[in-house]
Amino acid sequence: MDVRPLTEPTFFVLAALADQPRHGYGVIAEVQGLSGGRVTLRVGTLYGVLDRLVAEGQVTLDREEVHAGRLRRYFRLTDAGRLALETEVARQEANARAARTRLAVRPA
Amino acid sequence: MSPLEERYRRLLTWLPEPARSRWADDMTQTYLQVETADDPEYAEFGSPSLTDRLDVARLALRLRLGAPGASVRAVATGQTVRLVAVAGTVALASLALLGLFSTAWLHGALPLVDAPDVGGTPGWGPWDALFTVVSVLTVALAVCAVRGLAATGPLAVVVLVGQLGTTLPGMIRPLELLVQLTIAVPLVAAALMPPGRPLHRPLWLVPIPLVASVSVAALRPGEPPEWTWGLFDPVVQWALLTTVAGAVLLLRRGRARGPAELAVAVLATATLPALASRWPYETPPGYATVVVLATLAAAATAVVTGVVGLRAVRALPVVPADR
Repeated sequence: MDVRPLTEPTFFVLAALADQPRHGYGVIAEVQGLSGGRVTLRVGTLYGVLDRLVAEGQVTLDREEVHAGRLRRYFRLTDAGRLALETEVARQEANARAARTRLAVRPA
Repeated sequence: MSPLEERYRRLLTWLPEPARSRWADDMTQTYLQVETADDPEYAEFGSPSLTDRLDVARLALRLRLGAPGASVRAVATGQTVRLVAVAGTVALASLALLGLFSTAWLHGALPLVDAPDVGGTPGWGPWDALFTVVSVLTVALAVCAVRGLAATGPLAVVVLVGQLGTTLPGMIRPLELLVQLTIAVPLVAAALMPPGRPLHRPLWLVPIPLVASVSVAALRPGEPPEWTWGLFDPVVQWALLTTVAGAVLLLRRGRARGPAELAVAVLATATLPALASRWPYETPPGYATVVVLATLAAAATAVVTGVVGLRAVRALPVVPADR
């Protein structure tokens, strides 16, 4: 398994799909919410990430729904995607813990 | 279909197959939802922004160079770009290292080796500093390209800008621009190179720095015969190396053809402008003959390997690569 750190868009796309399947616009809105408005995914960037994650088996098509006469595709995390997200969260937590420990030590 | 939807559908035709069939409908719907969320009437008069166009162009380029989900043919194109980037940047890094070595020698900065007597202290100015920085970055770039690191692209752009900067003191001379054109080819390939795994045992790269070093070592004992001068020219060396590489590839049987042949064709073509820049100089007859022969060899290599490589890559199916 690839253990390289995830890029920020990839991390947020996986995080946005962690609790429930979402369609493209839903992922963009969720990422904006999760990042406190800091990250706004462009549509091309989102589908570039989705294309890669689907090819790598971390995200899969959940269902297709017709909404206002248009077809919407919903995507969900696979077990591999959940594992990749958990690994990244653990990595970031470990980094944050290490930095917090250092910050607690005030220079004399 | 609203005018906005029509415009986004036209924009998404930039995407290559099979990604276009897979994503274009869904992307269009997402674009429409994003763009009309605040103002539904925008669908009647709106059009894709410049950022959207750049975003789609970037995705299309990545997919054409073999990003995950791309076709078998696109993966082969990506491999070609990576081979050009790796071989080209290793060649540039070899020269950069020799340049750094010479500069250090000239300034007496090499341990255990005395500086040459050049009749005074050699000068050191901003352009020398820029040349040194660009040389160091070029070596780092070659390492990144071989390792397949994501830093290769941005670093290649910095080196490209730096290379152009080093030509400014001599003003813009047509002959110098021809050399820069040759140098720019591997740097542009490195800027476009898709990140990937490190090359496995890249022993085929060894002759590149070896040839450059051997020619410098050969200059040391004394004045070599005039006819050999052309062989010490790095551009001639690159042309001859691509010719040898092309011959080896074409003579080897029982292996899949495509990216390697195309990469040799691109590199051989890239040497032509720099070789052409040597023609107008008033050089010894032997030198000129070597340059002309190297030019003919590079041109023939480019044509033969290019035809073989293009045929092989075009024969690949436009279906998703199995990863």
